[in-house]
Amino acid sequence: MKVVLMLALRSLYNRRLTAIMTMISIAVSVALLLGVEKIRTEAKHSFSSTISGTDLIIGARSGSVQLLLYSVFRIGNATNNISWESYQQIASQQAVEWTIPISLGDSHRGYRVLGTTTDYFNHYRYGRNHALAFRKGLPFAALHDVVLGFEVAKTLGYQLGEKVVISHGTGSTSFSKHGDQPFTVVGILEPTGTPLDRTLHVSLEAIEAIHIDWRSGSYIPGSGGKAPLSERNLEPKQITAMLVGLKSKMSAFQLQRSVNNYRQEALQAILPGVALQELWGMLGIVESTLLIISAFVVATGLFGMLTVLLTSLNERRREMAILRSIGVRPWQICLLLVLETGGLTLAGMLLAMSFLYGGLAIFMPLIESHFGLFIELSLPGVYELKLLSLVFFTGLLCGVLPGYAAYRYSLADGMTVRL
Amino acid sequence: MQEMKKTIIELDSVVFGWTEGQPVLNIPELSVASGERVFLKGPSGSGKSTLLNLIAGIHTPRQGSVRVLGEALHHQGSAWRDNFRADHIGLIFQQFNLLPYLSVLDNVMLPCLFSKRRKARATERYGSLEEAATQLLKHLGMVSDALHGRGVTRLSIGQQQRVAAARALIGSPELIIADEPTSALDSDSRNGFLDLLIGECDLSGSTLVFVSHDSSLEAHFSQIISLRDINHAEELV
Repeated sequence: MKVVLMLALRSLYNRRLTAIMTMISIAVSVALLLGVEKIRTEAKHSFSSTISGTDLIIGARSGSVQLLLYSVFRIGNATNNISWESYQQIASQQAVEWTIPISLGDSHRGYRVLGTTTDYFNHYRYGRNHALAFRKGLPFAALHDVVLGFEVAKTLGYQLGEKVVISHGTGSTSFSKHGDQPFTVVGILEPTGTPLDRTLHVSLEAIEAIHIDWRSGSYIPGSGGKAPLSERNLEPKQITAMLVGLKSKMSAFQLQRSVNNYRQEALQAILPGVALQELWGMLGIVESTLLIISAFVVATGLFGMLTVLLTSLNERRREMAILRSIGVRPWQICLLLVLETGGLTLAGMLLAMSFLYGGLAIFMPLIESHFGLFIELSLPGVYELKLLSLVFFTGLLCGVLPGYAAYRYSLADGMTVRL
Repeated sequence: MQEMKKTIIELDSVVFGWTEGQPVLNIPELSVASGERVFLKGPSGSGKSTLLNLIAGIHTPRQGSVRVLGEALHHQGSAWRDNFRADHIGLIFQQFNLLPYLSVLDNVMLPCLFSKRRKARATERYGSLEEAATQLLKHLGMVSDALHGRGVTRLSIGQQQRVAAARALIGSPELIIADEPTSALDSDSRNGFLDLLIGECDLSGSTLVFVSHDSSLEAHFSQIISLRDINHAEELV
C-alpha cells in the first residue's frame, strides 16, 4: 500500500502539468461550490437577523410578507396607514413593554426617510440582539434634526451639521421637495448590515411638520394655515406601521389575535420570525438553483479528471505490464489509479479551501461595504464537510472506473503489450 | 551431467488458448534444468509471449501442468503466483522496460519493493539496496555514477536494456526470462549485452531463458529450443 502510494505520487509528479491543470479545475469548481454555500448561509443569516427583539409588527391589513417588506426592508409601500388612536390604544395594552411607531413615505436621493420616536434608538434590535450605536452625534432632539444610517452618510458624504432636504414620495428623482424645511444632520449610526444603513431617521413630528402645506400629494403654500410651527400641535394623525415589544413572549399570539380582530380599523399583526421564514422560502428557489449549478460545475471538474485519466490509461499499459512483471497484483494496479484520483481530488479540495478563504479575506471588506453582507471567516460547518466528503468520495469513485479498466488490461495483457 | 541438475521449468501436456478448442499453445513436454542458458527461438506469432506468460504465472493452462522450481503453478491462486513471480523470476522485455517516472537506481531497486526475499538477498550480498543496484549497473557496463540518479528517459536504448537487466538480476532470482531484449540493439552491442547478461546470471546462479528469433546468437547458449518443434498447436490450424 505504501509502495503503491509512492508509485502513484511519483507517477503523478512525472505528469505534473496535466495533474496540476486537473487539480486546478477541481479546485475552482469546489471553491465555487463552497463559495455559493457560504454566501447562501451567510445571506440567510444576515437576512434573518435584520430584525430581532421585536415580537410583533403591526400595520394595515395586507399580506404578511408585504408588511415585512415595507416595515423592515424598506421595499414597496403600505396600502394603508394606522390611525394614531389605534396606535395609542395598542401601545397602552397591559402586555406591551415598548412600541416603535414608523412613518414612511418620503425619501432623500433614493434613500427612505423614516419618521419615528427616540424609542427607536432604545429598543430596536438586529442580529444577535445588537442595539443601535452612534458612530457620531446623538439621536434627534429638535424638530428638524435627522439621524443618518451608515451607508447614507458614507455614500452621500454627509457630515454632522450638514443640511439635508427631503423629497416627497419615494422616487430617487422626485421633483417635489420639502425645500422649505431643511434638516440638520445630528447623528450617524454605526453599520448594521441591514436596510437600516440606508435609512434617514427623523421624528414623527417632523414628518407632520413638512406635510403641513401639502394637500392630496401636492404642495400648496399657505394651505395649512399661517401659524408658526412652534405653536402648532404636531401630534401625528396616522403612522405606517408599528413594532411592538412584549413583556412576555407568551402573550404574542394573544395580542396578535386581538389586533387582527380589531374592530375600529383593518389591522394586521405578524410575528417577524414567521414572516421572515415565509419570505426566505420564496427566495429558496434561487438558493437551490445556485447550489445545483455549482454541483454541476463540480461534476464537470471530476469528469475532466476522469477523461484525463482514461486518455492516459492507454499510454500507461506499458507501465502496467512492467508492474505486473515484477509481481504487482492487479488490484494494486487498480489501487494505483484510485489513489491517483483520490490524491488529485484531495489536493484540489485543499487548494479550493485556500482559494475560498484567501478570496474571502481579500474581498470581505468589499462585500461588506457594497452589499452590507458580513461573511464570517469561520471553519467549514457540518454541511460543508458533508459536501466536501461527497466530492472526495465521488473523486475516489472516478478512480474506480479507470482502475477497473487497468485491472482488466493487466489481466488480459499480462506482461506483453502490443504497442 | 544434466540429469543430476534440478529441473527448474517443467511443462507437461500443456494446452492454452483464449477460446475453447482453438489452442495457441499445445506443448506435450518442455523441461529446463537449473543453471542452463536456454535459447528459445521462434518467429513472431508462434506463441512465445504466451509461453512466457504461462511460465511467469500470469496465465494458467487450460490443460496440463506448469511447474517452476518444482511448484505446480496451475494449482495455486493468482495472488500466490504474483508473489512467486516477484520472488523468483526476473523479466526483461524487448524495449520500454522502465518506469519513466523513476530514476535509474529506483527502477533497478523496484522489484525489491514487492519482494522481501529479493530485498533480503540483495542486502545480504551487497550491504544495501543502493549498493546492490549500483554494483549491478557497473557490472553491466553502466560505469558512470552520474547516470544512476538520472531519469531513465534520457538513456539510449542500449543503456535502458542494461538497466532492465540489472532490475531483473537484483536479489538474484532463480529464473531470468528475457523476451527479445536485444532486438532493438545493433549487432555489436547485441553481443556485448549478451555476454554481460550471461556473466551476471553465472554470478548470481540464475537460470536464463532467452527468447529470440535471431539464430546468430545461438552460440552463446547451452540449450536451444525451437518453439516450432515443441508447440503442436499450429499444426491444427
